[in-house]
Formats: sequence, C-alpha cells, structure tokens
Amino acid sequence: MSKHETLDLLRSLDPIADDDPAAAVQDDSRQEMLTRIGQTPTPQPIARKGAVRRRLVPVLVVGTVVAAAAVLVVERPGDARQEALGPALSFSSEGDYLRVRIVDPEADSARYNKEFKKRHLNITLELMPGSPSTVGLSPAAGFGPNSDNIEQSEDPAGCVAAGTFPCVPQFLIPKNYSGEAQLVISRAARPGEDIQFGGRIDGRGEALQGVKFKNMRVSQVLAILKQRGYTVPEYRVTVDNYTSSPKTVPGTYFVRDGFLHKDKEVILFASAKR
Amino acid sequence: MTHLLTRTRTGSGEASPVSEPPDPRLARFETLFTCHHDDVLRYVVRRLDVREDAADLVAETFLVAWRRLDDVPDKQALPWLYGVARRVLANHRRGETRRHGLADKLRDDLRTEPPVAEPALELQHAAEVLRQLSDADRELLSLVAWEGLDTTQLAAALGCSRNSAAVRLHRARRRLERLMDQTTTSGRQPAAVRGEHA
Repeated sequence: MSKHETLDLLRSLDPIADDDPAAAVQDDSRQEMLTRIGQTPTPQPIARKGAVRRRLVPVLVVGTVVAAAAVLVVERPGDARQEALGPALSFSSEGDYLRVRIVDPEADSARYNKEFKKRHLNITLELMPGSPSTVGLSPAAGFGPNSDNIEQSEDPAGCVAAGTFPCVPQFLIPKNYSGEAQLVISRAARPGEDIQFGGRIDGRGEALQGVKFKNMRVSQVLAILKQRGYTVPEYRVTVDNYTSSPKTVPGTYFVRDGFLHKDKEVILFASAKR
Repeated sequence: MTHLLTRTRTGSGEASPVSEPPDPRLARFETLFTCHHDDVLRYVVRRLDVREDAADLVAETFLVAWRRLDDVPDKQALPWLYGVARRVLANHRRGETRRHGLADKLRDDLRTEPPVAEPALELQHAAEVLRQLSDADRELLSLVAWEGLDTTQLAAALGCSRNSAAVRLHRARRRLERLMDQTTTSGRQPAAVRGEHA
C-alpha cells in the first residue's frame, strides 16, 4: 500500500466527515465563550510577583524562627485573604524522577513557584477559582515542548473520578526535565468571583450536595438553594435546539442540571417538560 | 474584524466605547479564537465518544491559550492549539475534566446525537487496524489525515523538531501498513503492536 493510499484510507475514517460539529454551533455560543474567557484573570505580571515575594520574605524568616509551628497563618498586605504558609509542595525522589505532591492547595502560588525554582525546574503553578468539589484538584495544565514526560495523577488513585476526599494531585517529573510547564490548581472562589472550574452541582460541598435534583420543580430547588444561601440569577432553557438565558422561569419547570457560577450563585438548566 | 471582547468590556460602563483603543491582547486572543475555534472543536469531537463533552475541552484549550497568549507562536498557532487540546484530552481520559460555566451554551449546541452510518467492510477493517496502533501512532496519523497537518505543523503540535516529527510519522505509517498487510493476508485479527507511546 502506497503512502497516498494509506492516508486516503485514513481520511475516509474521519468520524465527522459527513457531520461537521461546527455547523451545530450558534454564534451566541462562540461569543459567550470568547467573552467569558477574555474576562478571566491572566497570569500576574512578573513585577507584581516580585513584590509579593518581597512581602513574604519577613514572614518566612519568622516562620523559620518558629520552626515548631507546622502552619503559620498571616494576613497578606494588600489582600484580605489569609494564606496558610506551610510547606506548599512535597518533593520526593524516585529514581530518575521527582514526585511532586500539592500538599497545601490554599498556599500562595508564589510559594509553589519558589519551591520549583529552588529545584531548577521551569514549572509554574497557578491557582484559579473553582467550585468546592474541585478545590485542591488540578483540572488543567499548559505545557511547552517535551513536557509530555510529566505524568499527572492523584493520590489515592481514582479519587477524582470517585469524587472522594482527600484527593491530592501529584506530578512525576524527570529530574533532568528542562522544558517548561504550567500547572493549574483549583482554589476556593472569593466572594463575587467567577468560577473557572465547576464540579457536579450535587458533588461534595456543592450547592446541591445530597439533593436528587433532577426532575424536581424549579420552585423546590430554589427553596433548597435559598436555605443554603445561594441565589439563581439566571437559567438556561433549551427549546428546539435554541438555548435562552432568562432571568426567571415558572416555578413549575423541571430542573435538569446546574452549575456554580460564582461563590454563591447557581445557574440552573430547566425545561417545561420532565 | 469586530473585536467582541473589547466591545463587551467597553460596553459595561467602564469607559467610552469610542475613546478607548482596543486592548491588543484581547484583540489577538479574539483573532486566535475566531480563526481556530471550529478547528479545535473538530479536533476534539473526532477523539471523543460523547460529542457534548467537547464543549468543556474546547473551553479548557482556549483558556490555556488565553493565559499563555505570549507563548502562542504567530506562524503555527493552530498546531500549537492542537498540542494544548491533546493534553486537555489526555486529562479528560483520566477523568479530570471539570465542567466549565463558560461552555454551557456550546454544550447545548452539541447535545444532538449525530447519525451513525455503518461503514463499508474495507473501512471497518482499517478502523480496527487503526485501533490496534499505540495512542501515539494513532494520534500522529490522525493529525495528518484528519487535521491535514504537514510535517512542520506536526512538529509544532507535538513539540518536537521537524526531523523528529518526520521520522515518527514514517515509522507510524509503516507500522500501520504492516498491520494492514498482515490482517489482509491472514484474515486474522492483529495483536496489539508496539509503537511510540504518548
């Protein structure tokens, strides 16, 4: 079989040859994704990272003096959020590899990156807001050339799929790794912040944890959410393949699904029929 | 090109839409997204069993691109995006995909089940052989046959040199051809072959 025949045969196996998925995508959908991605925070400029590092130095010195304290909680200047400054990462040597575990998902990402830098690894970790069941997990990774050599897993194995806790992300990195990589860890959202990584709405710590919400009436689900301190600013209703985003729907509608939009805001998928 | 991102932001009351010049970073991302969204979507859908799952993976891919915009090469942006999507897809297969609020409309668009047609006998055989290849070989061949990449683009997608991409492609194609020949002459199902692994 010639080179061209082989490729022609493979082309004829194209799963979407007769059904282009892009044809089903509405302009609104593209625009929504484009707009919302453009509104997400970008990595901090280097100068600002330096400023954070300088602010942290005295704290780390104090931390060394009080070595017995496992975790030191401080208020970061210019940021109301409290940071737990324990060992952010755990490094262990396994032959030609380094096993890195994200021990403290709440730590400042500058701390992660400092620890990577100390080991001459061009790897950065970033924290992005996620819904409660995703906090501490690593839902995304960016990478440079040859970073395929990095293996990502979790401890205990299968905890992501099972949704059990604790669930510690870990990375197996060749000791001679010279490429770059950008790993992302989900952190708790701050008030009013958009959620970037959403878990199942009935997952651990989520707005509808423990509720069998599918096919419940909107009014019933709203009552539960209100009791738990959540609001529903918007719905998604699909009729004849067209999705609208009304601010309200009749309480008799049925709930199909939902996701956390901000720390205390839920968007519900609803339909008139069960 | 109309800059949707810039327009949305200036329309929120922060500044006058007339006086504020477009943010070059937003404009660049919008160009990247507009030009390549559909290609990335096709790439992901081709490799998934459940079409609507593609929404979160496309969102994830462009989220990485947005956050690493300075790293996106001007000349090989689409292969670079394929490289990101490949990694995102690998995470998805390990069950590590999260639902993105920003992909909910796209998820709805993709919810319709595509028609499933029974392929011709020759194609069934080829499909079976393709499944027997290693993931890395299958990905190499798919990038060339389905996404239409040449060797330079393949190198950008895989993060390796052009020579290395050419050699890996050559080897993958030979393994495929050998399997095709073996199964055609023996009429037996092939055993899984060794190949490059992702």
